[in-house]
Amino acid sequence: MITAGIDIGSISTKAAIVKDGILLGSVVIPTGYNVSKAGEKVFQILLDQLELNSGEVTSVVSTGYGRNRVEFADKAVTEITCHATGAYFLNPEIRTVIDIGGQDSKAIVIDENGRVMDFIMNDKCAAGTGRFLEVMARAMEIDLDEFGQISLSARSSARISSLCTVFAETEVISLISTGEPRSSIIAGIHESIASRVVAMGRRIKMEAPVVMTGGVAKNIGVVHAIGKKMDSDIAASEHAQTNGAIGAALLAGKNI
Amino acid sequence: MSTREKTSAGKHLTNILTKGYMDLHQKAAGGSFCVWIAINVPAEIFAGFENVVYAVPESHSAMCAGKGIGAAMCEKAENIGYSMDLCSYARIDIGNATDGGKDSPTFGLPKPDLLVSNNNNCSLLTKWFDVHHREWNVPHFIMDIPFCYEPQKAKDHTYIIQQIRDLIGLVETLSGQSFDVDRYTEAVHFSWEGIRQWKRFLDMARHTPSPITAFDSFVHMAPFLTQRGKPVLSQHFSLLADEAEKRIADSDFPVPNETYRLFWDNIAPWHQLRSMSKRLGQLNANIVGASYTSCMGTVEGSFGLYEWDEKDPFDYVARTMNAYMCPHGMELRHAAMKQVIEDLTIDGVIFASNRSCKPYSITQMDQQKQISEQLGVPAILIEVDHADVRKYNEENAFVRIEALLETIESRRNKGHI
Repeated sequence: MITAGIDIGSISTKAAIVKDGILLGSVVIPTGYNVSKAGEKVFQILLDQLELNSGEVTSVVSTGYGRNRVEFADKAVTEITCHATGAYFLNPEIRTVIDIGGQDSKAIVIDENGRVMDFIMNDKCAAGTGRFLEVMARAMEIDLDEFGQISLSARSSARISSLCTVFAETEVISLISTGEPRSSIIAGIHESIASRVVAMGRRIKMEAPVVMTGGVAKNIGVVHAIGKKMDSDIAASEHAQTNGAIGAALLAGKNI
Repeated sequence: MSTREKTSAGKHLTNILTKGYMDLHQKAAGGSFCVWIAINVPAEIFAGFENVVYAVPESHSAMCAGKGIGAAMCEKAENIGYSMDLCSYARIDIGNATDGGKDSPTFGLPKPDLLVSNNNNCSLLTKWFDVHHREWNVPHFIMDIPFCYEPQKAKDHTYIIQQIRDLIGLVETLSGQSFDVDRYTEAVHFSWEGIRQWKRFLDMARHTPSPITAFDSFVHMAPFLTQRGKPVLSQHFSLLADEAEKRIADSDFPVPNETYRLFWDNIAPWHQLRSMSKRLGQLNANIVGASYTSCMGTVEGSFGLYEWDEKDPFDYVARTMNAYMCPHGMELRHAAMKQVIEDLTIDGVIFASNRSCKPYSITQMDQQKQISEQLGVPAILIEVDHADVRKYNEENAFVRIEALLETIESRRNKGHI
């Protein structure tokens, strides 16, 4: 049985297709303005890549902020359940998932059967999310993909005390003007995210092993900063960005 | 929760509220002594006077928010310098006062001769009434009601009774009217009759599926605030409870496939009643009860009705002046919540962290933890504002609500949703 998951986030739209519990493939595109179209487009790209047609896909589950805008989906499921399912599928030992996406961050505790036992999400503020990093990258005129590696070379971390994205950007600009090394500023930005996410996560009982998912997990600097803050080894999922879509595809199979 | 035609109780509500506001305006215009009160000031005492009427700014602000004009009214207050961080009820009321209530569904409220607030629900309220006190040079009487970490102490009870007597004396002096204790006793009796019917109505939620939703209780609580001490209170809530009873008999439920029974903690999200109830209904979820509407007529630590022996109205009124949640310590709040979760067979709790009401919201993180850990009932925290729609994000709220439902389902079905 072939099933698909479509994860429409605020920045990226992801699709994954699984067949009888095996991941066939996944793809990521920018969400853009038209959420419905992004869902259709990402699905078609993946079908083409896998040389499948939509008729061969038995069931589709949508997730993410655009989950209710995917007309061809059989069911909409929140990203909390999908990320838990995806992470458990990739590693059944996992007990906590820290997912940082474009506009929210969340910690999810799962049991030995992959069930969501508890979860917590950031409030409406975008601090500690992918959008926060995007704003900082723009302020520093550095490609976001370089952030992780640059931060690893930092000898010290600049202190970014503001939790507000807009005010933190002002702080970063001020640090640049005082000649603070960029590696130190970026390390400080990562620590700022880690502080916020770990403090939030501690409101629920996070248990090891912990995996990080979501687009921000591709940033090794953030993964390290969170691991340091938690005093624990944190693994970044090899399918960090498509983990939610994979979970959705697996759930599509369970609902048949 | 499907959109329904207005029921007899719904029509009755419209009639009594319309008549109530018209009477208020007419009597005040005709020379009645007009008092503005905070919601838990015992309005029954005004029935003890020949010609005293009362208005409830908080209830009026809630009505404005429910009619979709809350944010616009808030902006009027912000335009004259009040911070957006202040309570949205206060901003609506102050905004409304800037132009004589020209956009209000009730044409605002008649100007007061006396302001009576209290400090047990929040301290902001006393400052809010002080704004009118300074602007209009109207006397302001503040009732000092002690916060409860344990059941009301005898000395606090005596202290409250003394303040009620002081207030009566002040109204006598300012209005030139005499207080009639028999009329006051009769008014407390009418309120007592009303609150018993209200509890009868709320208790209908024990039935599965529930014939009522918390949204019904939000909408229908208004007379308890604006019509206290009147026979219409009991008539209205009796009609409401009868309707709910008939729905059980007819198997006519607001959420026919009720799969998730939820409980709401905080003030009603007035600007979201219709859309939130509709969206929840589509998910087969019903918020069957709320601490906000369950606490009326109760005392600390329980949502059970506080029984009155119909003897001393001063004793009863003082004892129930702390009915609302804000003046209660966390242990008392948790005790009440724990009991209602069992009584109503609640599957999950929505703690609505209210940007406009920190006294209500301040304990919620700990309560959420206690409920999850001690009772094994999943609970979420969402961000709301009771009357300012600009501080609410529907998608943010619903991703958490839907995840709560999925967690409930997953626990029931061992991982399958």
